[in-house]
Amino acid sequence: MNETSTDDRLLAPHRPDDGPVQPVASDATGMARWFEEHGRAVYNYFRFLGASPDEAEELSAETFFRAIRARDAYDPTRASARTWLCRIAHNAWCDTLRRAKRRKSIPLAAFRDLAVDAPSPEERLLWEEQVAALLAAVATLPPADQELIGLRYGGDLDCAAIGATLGVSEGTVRTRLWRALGRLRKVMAA
Amino acid sequence: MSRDHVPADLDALDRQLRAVQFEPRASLGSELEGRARRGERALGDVSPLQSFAVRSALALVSVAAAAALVVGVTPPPHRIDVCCDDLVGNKSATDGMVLSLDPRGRVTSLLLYEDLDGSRSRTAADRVHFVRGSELALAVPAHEDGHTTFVKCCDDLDGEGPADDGLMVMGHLPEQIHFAALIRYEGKRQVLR
Repeated sequence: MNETSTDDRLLAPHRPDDGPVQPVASDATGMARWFEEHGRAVYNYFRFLGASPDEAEELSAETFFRAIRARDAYDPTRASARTWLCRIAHNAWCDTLRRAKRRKSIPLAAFRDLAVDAPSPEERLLWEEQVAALLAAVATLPPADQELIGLRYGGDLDCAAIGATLGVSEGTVRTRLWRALGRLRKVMAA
Repeated sequence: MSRDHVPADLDALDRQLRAVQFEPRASLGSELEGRARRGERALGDVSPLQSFAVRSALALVSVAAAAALVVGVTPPPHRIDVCCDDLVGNKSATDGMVLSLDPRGRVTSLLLYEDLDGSRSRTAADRVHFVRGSELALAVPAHEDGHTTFVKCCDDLDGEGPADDGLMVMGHLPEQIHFAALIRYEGKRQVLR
């Protein structure tokens, strides 16, 4: 059976025999399905980079709007939809950095969106403090290190996919990622 | 994500980072869908703003808008086409609504239709259930025999983002509609418009 994945169907360029073009409706449907499959990863990517919940929402929206606009350029034989979306998210983040000098610290109190599997409020608070310390440490790393950590732990990509996103080899990603984690561990221990 | 053979000395940190997960708002996906449906585009789409020609054109538009204000011309209302759902109490998700709102968010026209051609938007082939202008008026007494009220709640019907709008429809439903209005829920208040 010749099956087409949801991503392939959503991302495929429109052909004349597909019927009349309904750009707004199909964009909206594609947006919803994409977001359902990849929205959480894109959102987490921005959160790991230090975006607040509100900023992460807007950047996620920007990412998906850009993806809809550029869907004809997507080639599923070259990258997974997740990798492609993370590349767009990466570009959106770089644009944000260019537009505004970003702060070095992150708003530690803004963890309303943190997923917590804690039975008590005390345990939740403890976990929030740990995450706050972790992300504050990430925020002190060089931007390239933050990017790698965001793609791996926020975007949920492996080293090969990160390499495809950033245009470097898988081996290079692995080396840089372990170095970045080593630096993060030092910051955490300080 | 594969484990990628994390070095042993980094394993604990790797596991700690993996455990950090954020949940975007549950309604964010549907919000984005609504924004896309209304034709919103990426910020990147405005990059031509950097071109001199577009900046010049914008300057001209600004001058024209200022001139329009001086002579008392208000900007045109914007139009929203919402389809498809059960909006008139017929238990069939084939109804649509075309709203025109002025720049202050006031409803200047409201049209309810049945999407007969399956286009999921208002076309000439659709059947119009009801249409009104900016006035809120009930053509027949509300207590008339057989008169029923149908309220649909809550969704983002006015395109402002929050799903805080409802639709109230009154009449001999679903065949005859005598009144329809958007409801905005503001806490315990309900504002008809």
